[in-house]
Parts: sequence; C-alpha cells; structure tokens
Amino acid sequence: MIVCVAVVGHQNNPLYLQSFTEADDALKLHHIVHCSLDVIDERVNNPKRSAPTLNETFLGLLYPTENYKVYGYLTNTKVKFIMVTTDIDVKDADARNFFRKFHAAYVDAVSNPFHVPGKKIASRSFGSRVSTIVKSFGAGTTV
Amino acid sequence: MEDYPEELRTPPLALVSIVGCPELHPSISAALSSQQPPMNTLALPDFAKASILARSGKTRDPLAPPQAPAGILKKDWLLKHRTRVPAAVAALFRANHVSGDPAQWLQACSDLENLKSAIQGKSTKLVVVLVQSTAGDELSEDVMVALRKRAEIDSKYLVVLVEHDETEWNKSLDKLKNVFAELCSTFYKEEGRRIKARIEKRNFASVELSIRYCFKVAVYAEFRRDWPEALKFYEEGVRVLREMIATSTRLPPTQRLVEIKAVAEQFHFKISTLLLHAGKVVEAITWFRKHTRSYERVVGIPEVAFLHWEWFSRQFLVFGELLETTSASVPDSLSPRFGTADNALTEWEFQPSYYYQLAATYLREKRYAIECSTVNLTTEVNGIPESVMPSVYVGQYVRLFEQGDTVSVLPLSDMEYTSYALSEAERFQDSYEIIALFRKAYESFQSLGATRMASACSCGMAIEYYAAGDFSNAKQLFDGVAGLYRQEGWATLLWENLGYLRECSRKLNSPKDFVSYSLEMAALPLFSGSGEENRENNSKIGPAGSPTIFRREAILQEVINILEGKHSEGTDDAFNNAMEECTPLDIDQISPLRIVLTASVAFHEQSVKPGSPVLVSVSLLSHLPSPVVIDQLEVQFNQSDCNFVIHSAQEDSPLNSALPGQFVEAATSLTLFTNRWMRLTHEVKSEQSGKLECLSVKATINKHLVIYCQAESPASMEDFPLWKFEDQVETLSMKDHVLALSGQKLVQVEEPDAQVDLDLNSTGPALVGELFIVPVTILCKGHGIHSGELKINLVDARGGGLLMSPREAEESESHHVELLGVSTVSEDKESKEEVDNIKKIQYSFGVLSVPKLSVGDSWSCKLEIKWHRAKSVMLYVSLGYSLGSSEAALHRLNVHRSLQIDGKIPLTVSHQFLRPFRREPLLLSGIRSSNNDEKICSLALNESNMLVVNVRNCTEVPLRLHSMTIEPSDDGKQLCSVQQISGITSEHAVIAPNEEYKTIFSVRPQVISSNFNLGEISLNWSRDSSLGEGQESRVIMKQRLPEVNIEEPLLVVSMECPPYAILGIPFTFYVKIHNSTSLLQEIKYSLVDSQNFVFSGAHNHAAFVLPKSDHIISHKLVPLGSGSQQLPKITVTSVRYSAALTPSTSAASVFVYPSEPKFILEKSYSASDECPCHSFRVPLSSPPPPPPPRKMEMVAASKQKVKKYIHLFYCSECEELAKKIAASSDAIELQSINWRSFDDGFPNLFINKAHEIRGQHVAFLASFSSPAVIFEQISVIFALPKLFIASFTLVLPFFPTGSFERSRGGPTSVVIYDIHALQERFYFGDDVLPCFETGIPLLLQRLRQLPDPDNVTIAFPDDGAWKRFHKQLQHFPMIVCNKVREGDKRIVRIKEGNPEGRHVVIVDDLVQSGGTLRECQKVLAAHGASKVSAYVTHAVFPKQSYERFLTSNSAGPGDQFAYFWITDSCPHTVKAIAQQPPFEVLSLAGSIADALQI
Repeated sequence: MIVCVAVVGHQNNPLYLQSFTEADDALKLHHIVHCSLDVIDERVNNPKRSAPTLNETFLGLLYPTENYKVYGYLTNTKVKFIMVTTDIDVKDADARNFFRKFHAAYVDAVSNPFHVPGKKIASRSFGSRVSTIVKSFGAGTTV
Repeated sequence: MEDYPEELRTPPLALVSIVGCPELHPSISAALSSQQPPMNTLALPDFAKASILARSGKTRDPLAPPQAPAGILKKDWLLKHRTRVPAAVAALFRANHVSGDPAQWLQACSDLENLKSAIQGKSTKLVVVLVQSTAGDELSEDVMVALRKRAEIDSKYLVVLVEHDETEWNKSLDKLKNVFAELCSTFYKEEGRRIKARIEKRNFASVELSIRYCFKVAVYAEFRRDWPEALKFYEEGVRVLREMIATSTRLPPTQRLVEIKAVAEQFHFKISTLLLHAGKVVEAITWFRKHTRSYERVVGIPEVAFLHWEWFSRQFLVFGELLETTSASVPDSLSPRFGTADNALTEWEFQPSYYYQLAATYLREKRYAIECSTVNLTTEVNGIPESVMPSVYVGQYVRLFEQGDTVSVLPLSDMEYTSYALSEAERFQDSYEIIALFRKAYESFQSLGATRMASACSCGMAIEYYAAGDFSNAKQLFDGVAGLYRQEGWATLLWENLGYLRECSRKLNSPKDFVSYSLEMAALPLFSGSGEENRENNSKIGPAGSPTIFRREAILQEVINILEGKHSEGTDDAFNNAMEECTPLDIDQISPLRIVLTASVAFHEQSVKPGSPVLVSVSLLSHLPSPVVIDQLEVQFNQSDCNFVIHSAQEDSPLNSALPGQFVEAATSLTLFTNRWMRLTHEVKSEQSGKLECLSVKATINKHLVIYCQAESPASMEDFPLWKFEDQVETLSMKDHVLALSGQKLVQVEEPDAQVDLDLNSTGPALVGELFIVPVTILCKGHGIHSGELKINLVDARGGGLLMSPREAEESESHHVELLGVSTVSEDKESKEEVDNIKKIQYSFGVLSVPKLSVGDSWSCKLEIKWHRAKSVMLYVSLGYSLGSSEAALHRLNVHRSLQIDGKIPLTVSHQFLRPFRREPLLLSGIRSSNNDEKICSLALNESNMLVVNVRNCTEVPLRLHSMTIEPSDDGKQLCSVQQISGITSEHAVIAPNEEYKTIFSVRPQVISSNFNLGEISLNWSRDSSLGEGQESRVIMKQRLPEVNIEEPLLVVSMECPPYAILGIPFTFYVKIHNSTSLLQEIKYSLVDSQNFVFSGAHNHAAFVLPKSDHIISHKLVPLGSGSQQLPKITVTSVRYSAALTPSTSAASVFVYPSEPKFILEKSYSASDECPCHSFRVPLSSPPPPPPPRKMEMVAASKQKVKKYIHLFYCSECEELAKKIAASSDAIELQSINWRSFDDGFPNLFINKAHEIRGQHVAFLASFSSPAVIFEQISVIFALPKLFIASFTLVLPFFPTGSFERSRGGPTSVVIYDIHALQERFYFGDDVLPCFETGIPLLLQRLRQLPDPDNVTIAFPDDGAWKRFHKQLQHFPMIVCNKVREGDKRIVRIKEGNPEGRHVVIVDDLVQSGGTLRECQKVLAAHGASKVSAYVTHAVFPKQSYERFLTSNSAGPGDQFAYFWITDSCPHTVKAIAQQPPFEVLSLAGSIADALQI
C-alpha cells in the first residue's frame, strides 16, 4: 500500500505531499521524503555509479526505512517524485508504471495556465487523480 | 556487540593442554598461539591438576531415555569447549627424570595413569613429551618404548623436546605443533561427526535439541575452520528456530519468545560474522534483511513490546558495528544500479550509519513502548519479583528461591517476568543510548555528504535531549536543523522544529527567542496536505501540535496574551517576568522573521533638492494569520532629523511624548492584515546634502514588543524563502508599479543652489588671428565667495576635446585655439598681483583664484583667447567656492557656464592676373596647357601683368584694413618687380561685412622660370569698432600667392584702336603681331564681320612675320551703330604652333559716340592727378568693372635692330668668302684656326683665342667640297660648341646633298640655299632646325643691272627647277623645258613659253658637267632666243668641266652663254674660273652675314 506520494521541486522544496494513511504519521513521512532526497542527490551527482543510467527517469528503491520502502523518479526538469510504500515486495515494473501515470498527472497539472511554475500544486483535480492512481496501484498488486 | 560474551565474539580456537614442566609452559603456549591457525593452551603446572580435565557434570546414563531439555542452548557450553575441553593433552616429562631414578620413573607412570583416567570417556588425545636438556643426551630406546606403552600411544605422539639448543628446540617444537594440529583436527572432526550423526538419526524428541546439535556441529566446524559447514549448520539452526516460534509450548509465551530471540540473535551474529569475515558483504546484508524481516513482526504482547524493540534495535546496532569493523567494502562487481530489480540493495544499506539510525529509531520505539507499558502495568501488578537472574540457558530467567540454606531455582510466570523486565528497563537510561546512536549516525552521514539524513539524525538527537530535559543542547541542535528546512521550504518539518524550539526557549526563560519562534511559527505557510485532525494524545506529535491555521492563530494569540500580561497556562512567573523587559526584535533581510514583518521603503524621487520635501512610501507586510495592530511606527533614516513617527489614533495612550524635532503623525488605523501590504506615504525634508537612506522601521506592538525591521528597497527585494513556493497571490509593495519595481530606499540630496551669477559675454564670433576677449563677470547675489576658484576650459565644440588634431599634437605650439591669458579688472594693484600669483594658464585650460567677495559684490576678468584656425569652441567656465572660510573644504558650491564661440576667418583673399589691355601673348604653356597641372598661371616675360587682389570681409563686423602689400620672396625681389598701382589710403579702407576690396599690382617678370614664387600677400587689419579704443589691435594676416610660370611669349598680338569712335567716321584698327622668336613665323588671320561696322581689307589672309619683327594688319572701320560696340573679331593663327590667338571680348569693344564728344580734359586729368591710386569698392552684384584707363602701350614701334656680335671661324678654303662676309658686316669678327696636320696626316688643329668666345655667338664657315677636308672640319664643328659658347651656327655654302646650309644657336638650325627638295627637310635630326635660304635675290639684283632688264625671260631646264624658283621670279616671262634622259643623252624640249627674241636666263640650283645647260642652251637658241645666259647657285664643275663654257673655248656665238652667273659657294671653282668670261661670281657674303644675324 502506498502511504505517501510527494512532488519535490528542483530546489528540493516540497511541491506536493499527500499521505494516505490512517495513522497520524505525516511528520514522519515528511522526514522520510526529505531524507530520500539525499539518495536522489547521491544518485544524480555521482556520475560513476549512474553513468549508464543517466537517462533513466525511474530511480528505483531509494532506501528501506523502518516499515517503509521509498521509491524515486526524476523528471527532465529535475522535479522529483517520491513514493513511500509499505509493501514488502514491489515489482519494479509496477513502480515504473505508477510513476509514469503520476508524471502524466503532474504534467497536466503544471500545464494549467493558472499554475505558476515553482509554486505548490494546489489543483484539486490533481489530488483526486493522484489518489486514483494510488488506489489502482494497491489494486494492481493484490490482483 | 560488547554485550556479547567473549567466546561468541571471537572465532573459536582449538584448545590443547600441557601438563608438567611448568617452567616451559610460557614458551610452549606462546609458540602454539603464534601458530597458524593459532591454538590456545590450557597449561597445568603439575599432574595433580589434571582432574580439571575430567568431566565435571554427573555422568549420564547413556541408556536412559533423553529427557526434554529445559532450554535450547546452555550458556556456558561454548565457553567450556573453548577453555576447559582440550582436544589433546600433552604430558611433559624431563628425560633425566624418566631414565634415571626408578622412583621418579614410578612417579611418572602414576602421573600418566592419572591423566589417562582424567580424559577417559572423551576423545581427548594424549601426547607424551620428553624434555632433554641438550641434544647429545641419548635416551635409551627401551625407556621410550616403555613410556609409550605406558601411555598407550603411537610412537609418533612421543615427542622429544631439546631444551638448551636453539635450533633443536625450534625443530622439536615444530614437531610438537604438528602433532597437536593433527590431533586437534581429528578430535573436532570426530566430535562433529558424532553430533551430526545424532541429527541425521533424528533420535531426539524435541526441536530444542535439534537446534542445539546444529549449533554444536557448527561450532566444531568452526574449530577446525570449516566455515562453509559452520555456516550451513547455523543457517539450519536458524531455520528450525523460526519454526519453533509457533510450535513450542515449553515456556510461557513471553519468555519463550524472549528465549527464541536470544538464540536467534546468537545464530544471527555468528552467521553475520562469518559472512563478513569471508568478505561477502552483499550476502551479509541480504541475510540481515531476511533476519529483520522474519522477526520484525514478532512483537509479542503489547506489554512486552519494549523487549522486542530493544532486541530489534540491538540487531541493527550490532550489525552496524559489524559492518563498521569489517574491512570489506562494497564489491565492484555489484551492479551500480541500486534499488532496482537486478540489485535490490540500496547505497545506505552499506553504510553503518543507516543501521545506527534505525537502531536509534527502534530504541526510541522501545521507549514509547515502555511508556505505554508503565501506564498499563504498574497499576495492576504491585511488587516486582525479587532475585530474578538469568538461568543456565540462553535467554531464560529464573527466580532464586532461598529456603534456609538451600537455594532452589524456580521458573517465572510471564507476569512476573514482565514486571521484572520492565523494572530492569526503567533502570536503564535509554535517552543517552539513543543520543549516542543518533550522533554516530549523524557524524557518519555528515561525512557522506547526506545533509538531510544527518539533520534527521540531528533532529532525533535534539528530541532526545528535549525529552531528557537538556534544553540548551536541544535548542542548539534544533536551531541547526531549522536552517536547512527554511532553506528548502519544508514548512511542516520546520513547524515541528520550531515547536520544540519554542518550548525550549520557554523552559530556558528566554522570552525573546520564545516570541520570535512563536511569531515565525504563526507566520509559517501551511502545507496544504495537512488535514484537520488534531489528536493531542498522540505522543509522536511534538509540542508544536499539528500544523493547522487554528494552531497558528492560537500561537499568535498566546504571544499577544503574554505581551499583554495575561498569564497563560503552562508558563511560570519567572518567564512572565522576563517577558516584561522584552528586548526588541531585529529583522534583517536574512532573518527568518522576515515573513513576520517586512518593510519596503521607496522614495518617489531619485534626487531631491535640500530643504524641499520628498515623498517616501513605507509598506509593511506580514504573514501572520490574524490582523496585528501596530501602536506606533517609527521610520528611521541615516539623517536622524528626518525620522518620523506614526502612531495609531485609536490608541489614546500618552506614548506620543515625542522627542522634539521629530515629526509625529497620527494615522487612523495601523492594522496589518494577513498577506496584505500596508502602505503609508509620508513627506520628508532633508536639509543636509548627501545620501538620505531609510535604515529601519521600528514597529511597536502592544507596547512591549518592539520590532526593528530593516528597510528594503522594492527594487532589490527578494522573495520570501518559505512563501515563494506557496500558491498565494503575489502583490506589489507599492501602488505605483514603477516604484514597486525600481524604487530605492535611498535618495540623493543635492547640493544647495549657488546664488552667484557668472556671466560670460562674447561679442559675436571671434576672428582668426586677433586677440579675442571674453569678459567674465561674477555677481554675488545671495552668497559671499570664499576661496573661490575659476576654472576655464576650452573644448572643441564638435567633440573630441582636444583643440588640435592628433598629428599636430606633437608640435606643441600649433594649438588651433589658445587661451593666452586672463586679465583682471580691478582697481587696486595689490589684488592683481595676488591674482597673478595663483593663475595658471595652459593652452586650453586655466585656473584662476577669485578674491574674497561679499554679498552684492561683483568681480570680473577678461579671458584672452586667440584662434589660429577657424574652429568652433566651447568655453566652459566654472566657479567653485565655499560659503564661509571656516568650513572651506566641506561645502563647495559650483556654478557652471558655457559658451560656444565660433572662430571665423575675417578676410578671404582671392587674386587674379590680368594682361595689359588688348594684348595677348602666345605662350608655349598656353599651347600645351592640357598636359600638366592647369592651375598654374603663366605670365609673359618682360610684360607688365596686372595682379588684382580681392579682399572680402566674411564676418559680420566691419573691418579696417590698414595695409596690403606683397612681400616677395628673397630671390623674387630681383627677378620680378612688383609695384602697387592702386590700393589703400590711410583711413578709407573700412570694409563693411560682405564687401570686397580690391588692390591692383603690376608684376613684370624678368626671368624665365617655371614655378616662380611671387611671395605673400600681407594684410594688416583690425576691427573697426569701438571695442578696445585704447590700444589698436592690428592683426597681420598673410596669404601666400601661388607659384606662376614665367615664359617668353612667342607671338604678341596687340590691338590698337582709338579710345572711342564716332558714328560714321572711319578709323583705323591695327592689329600688330610681334614675332619675338628668331624664326620666320607664318601666320594666318581672319576677321569676322561685325554688324555695327563696315571695314575694308581682307577677311582671311596669311603673312610671314620675320624674326624679331612686327607685322601690322590694318583695317579701316566705319562704325554704323553707337554705344559700346563689338569690334570685328580677329583671330590670329600661328601656323608653326598651330595655335590661335583671340583677343578677349572686353578688349575688342569700343564705345561709339553718335557725334564728337566734348571732354573737359583738364578737369578730369587734375582729378586723376589728385588721386592717382584709385581704390575700387565694388558691390558684389555690380556689372564687371570697366577696363583700366586706356593707355595704349606700344611695343617698340621702331624697327631698331639689335645686332648680334658673331665670331666667325672658317676653313682655309673659304678664307676669301669669310673675309668678304666680315667686310659686309661690322658685327662679325673673324677668328682663326691653325689648320695643321701631324706627320701621319691626322689633323692638328688649334683654335686661337678660345677663351674669348665664351658666352658669345659663334659661327663656322665650312666647305665640304672635297672629302679630304671634311674630317678636320667636322673635328672643329664638334669642338667649337664645347667652348661655352652662347650659340653655334654652321655655315655650309655648298653641302653636296643640301647645297647650302647653316646652323644657328639655340635650337641648332641649318640654313640651306636653294636645293630645296622637300625631302631635305627630313634629312636632319630633330634637334636641328633646317632653314632654307636662296641666292635668287642676288640674281635679281644682277638682272636689274643688265642693259636689257625688260627683255629677260627666265627658263627652267626642268620641272624641279620651276617648282623651286618660279615664285621668286614671277614678274619675268618664263619658259619651262622638259628634259628626258635617254641613256647618256639628254633630250630637252620646250614645254611652254616662247624664247623668241628674248634674253633667256636659265636658272638652276647647281651645275655639274653642264650637259643639261648646254642642251637647253641649244634648244633655246634654236627657238630664236637672242641671248642665253645661265645662273646656278652652286657651280660644282668637277674635272674642270667649266672649260667647255669658257668663251675662249666655244665654237661660236651660237654656242655661247652671254653670262654665266655663279655664287661663291664652291670656293675652288670660284678660284679657278673667276673673271673668265662668261663666268661672273655673285658673292653670298652679304647674304650669309644677314643669315648669321637670325
């Protein structure tokens, strides 16, 4: 189950963060998302390790922490998507698929002429679309 | 990891035991432990201690059924096997003890027996060691055998040690070591096999035993360093153990779980260690993952959850420590792609810090669990069980129960155990453990560059400090973390952080921090995702609460309450007291509190005059969630006079007891609304010049809170770091958009206006050359002048700055405009001297000090500027002064004035050459005018030429011309006379603007020269104005005349006609053509009819003008119309030069009066006498000026011949002719040449008086009659021209091919008589002018002396002769004969004419044999001629052929010539036939003499 998704701008500022848990651990998820930026930095800035995969947007598992696993995705405009899940076994293909849909939703959201680039995403339709994607991800794994 | 027992942490080592000979033990055990693999030694000093080796426990009946074990692993089993169960035992005996004394032997035997009994029942091996002191001590074979038998060992297990020999000792020790190694290996293998067999047989009842056996097998494998097998059995054990969680029922559930986990921990530790030691990092991590995952959920009942978390945390900690201590790093073979399918691991999992951090997190979990447990448990169970201690089994606890002396061990119930564990856990300070773990992780992450991870750890640390009550440490850490969150805009994280910080500062009694943190929290942007839920009971939420708008408002309200003195809950009095003396908050541009209050200040102007008001807008913005009322607002500037205060009008507090000099203003309301700019505009007046900058805005809220907010310029305002990502509407700080984008918080206050007038007066344009004066006046209106300084600067008005062109800059004098000086106009001398001292003048720059002036005074000076070229110049004058002497350097005021002054050339001078009236010379340059520079003017030599100089005033002021002269150049004075004909009188030459003034000069050049320099026109002028009455500033201006070309005219055409004509009265119009060359000039002239005149004479005609002579053409004209009439236009053409001369139309006109005019001549003459030099002032538009007075200057009319003095040389043959020539003219002097020859026949010539003929005209009379004399004559001809003679003329009376010629000076000319075939012209070179003369005039003279001159008829023997001579003999009847040559015979016929009865004279150019003449004579005589005579110019008569003509030789009168005239061109013929009839010689001497004069 995905517990949290986040969009992080290229200045490492949060643009969108939504948790999907009942428990009140938003703060913890904030911390997790924030910390995972270090891993993304490391992967992006360490050319030796990531040279053959520079064009790959999907960053894979960033790190497992406590009960969660953190997955990352980096767009061309250096906007980062982060997904936190509690699932033990996540297939890479599923994660990729999720991020692709998420990216599409993000692109649609920032294409809104009333959206100011670099500002937080306040679109409600984006939020609902993201929750649909998140739900379908959970469904995809159970089926 | 340090918690683990030693035996678990280190790899097991084989154990051997040595008994006896204690003095050798240290060296043996050292040798064994240094072996590879090392062995531990259990050293027993004597055999009495051997009982230790015996099995300690009771012997178990092997046949009894195995009872169910009470636990999985016994705690001390491993220790026992590592320290007390040796694999082999060595009994040491000294050799001398064994071999010698029987008693000792017996003792040894009994010792050996004891030992054997001790190890009986075990597979421990026995070794006997004999110690020899030296190698030489032979041991008897039988002793050895006996000993072996006693010990029941193989012979190879009997080892001899040699004590005192180094090499032998080492050798024997090596042998011992090998024996031990072999025995150990066998021992552990056997033991392992034994246990393994049990596992395979599965003849045990419980799972516990299975695990135990696995453990034992693995340990034995480890003993013999069989790592794979050890790993295999450990893993097997773990597998079985995991199964046991669900199945085992042996213990109460809580304790069971604890035991299983403890065992699992041991297994896990062993496996991890083995893997990491083998360098298999990836496997180790994967294994660890599996381990944690399988136990993660095995929490147990909630009451003991803390035990689980503690255990779980320990797993991470231990694994982290293992990872840190291992040397293995991430293998390179690992795929670089972390976190994906092909590599499930991530980077951090290789870093110990990751595990430390998680360990700390789980430890914190444990603490939470404890907190929960204590709440639940302590109330229920009272009393903690006493004397609980760990049991013999791993992970089990028992209770000691004492009853009297007996101590029995009782198992615990779960309840008891829980309360025991809880009490244990509470004793333990988790906080410091957590902090230590976080710190480790923090440092590690920091070194990896993972700042966010590190700050998360730091945050964790801080929270622990906070929980532990160490607020100052916590605050410090939180502060460090907050920076990162602020920077990246993680508002929610910052919120939590600030919440802690706020509480910390509250606890630390730091109200300022408290307020600032509270305000920052209140102003934080909300993260939109955070919901409305507000569960206060959740312990994980920090003191900040959940980040909601209500919470923010509450925090703000709390701050306001505190400020207002309303004590809120949760604060103590001390804090409130500290609140009372609140220190002001400073907000600058980097302060996080910028979001609380931002002040943007902009002046409406960029610069302002001192004392005049300027508007300044102050805008305040706050992000606080609810409106804030500001009591008082003070805006502070760097000039404190400008500060002003605005206070809220609603507030009726007596606060506004403002300081004097401060502007206090009351505004209706000073309320800051959320996210909305509060804009105030105020007027400020500054008296001080310089920069006026707004420093800060001081806002007082609720009396106690004072915020100093640094002012920012709207132009350079930055975004708010946190709010910049929020989706709020952005507003501009100023209403005016321009101001909002470019407004500045500072304004430049200008200097005060100078109240001094600086006047520059200039009277029109400056004139080049004069000293132009610009008066400068300083008038003090409102200021007095102290230490004033006047700076003068001249700059080219067209830009460029310099007043000279770069090339001319090298010559420093040639500034086009110069500042020559400054003169002050002052009454007293003293001040003038003072001024002079200070003034500094350069070419274009001057500095001048101005004396002290008080208000109302004026001072002036004059600038003297001189222009060298016409140039426009900007004159900048600036006056700098200070108001008072005291603050001289402080305030200097400046007044600037500038003036553009044009420099103009005052007079333009043009000139024009005019020839004498009605006289036109033909000049060579006029003919060839087309080729080279046409600009150059040509003047005729020895003629008077008029030079008219026009001076035009191009300025706008009248100018006075004082003099105008032509200053000839040095050599020009002698060569060319210049006279002024008309010009300047003493006072009249004032030229009005745009008027012209003319002066006429006469120029008479006296030498032929091309590019003759006439000199310069020099003008002396001044302004004709009242300016500068005192001294007249005359200016001399010079202009160079162009060079002229002076040549000798070839022909001069002069026209003569009366000054006027009268209608109907004829007058004569002469045109005189003067040939000034020494050549005969053929001219043609033509007259064109004029409608107002009738004239007589030819329209077209030709004439020859003799050298140096005139030809006059005269026409009689009758005027038919009155007025100024054009004379018939005459055009004279020189044939030789093919150039035409046409007099100008002005010259060819005459005024015709209708009747005789009457002039009062006397008056007019007297008038002209009075004013002989008339000056014309002609307006520009007037008709062309009338010609100068008609003075008909005649070229010398008389035909006065200037004789040329000639030195005549002659050849000896021509001596007679020469003498005759000399006699015929007195201008000819004979000179002689000595004609001698050397012996070999070469000529030896000497020219007498050679030096006298220098510069003289020289002629040579030559005779080429015979080839013998030609050579010597040619020598003379070549020699004579080289004696510096003026000219050379060769007279050659008879030239065989040209008959008669001469050459003359200048261009060499050859004169040839009579044999003028046309081709002879081209016989001579180009540098010789051939001149053909004739002897006919001599004949004509002679014929006139004949008795019958009227009866003479001229006959020409052939057509050639007719062509040659007929023109000169036109008035005689002529007969032309025709001569046909037939072989040697000549047949002559009469072509035309009638000789009958006439005296016929045959004329021919030369005679040779005379055959033609004779034939001709015969024909003429036959046709009835009465007499026949003959004339030939050249009588050659070779071979005395003349004899045929002698009268004495003739056949009869019919065969005779009456006369035979010849000339003396052939001297030897003349000599031979002189005065023999019929020959008569006509001498050419006179003719030659004349020819020489050409």
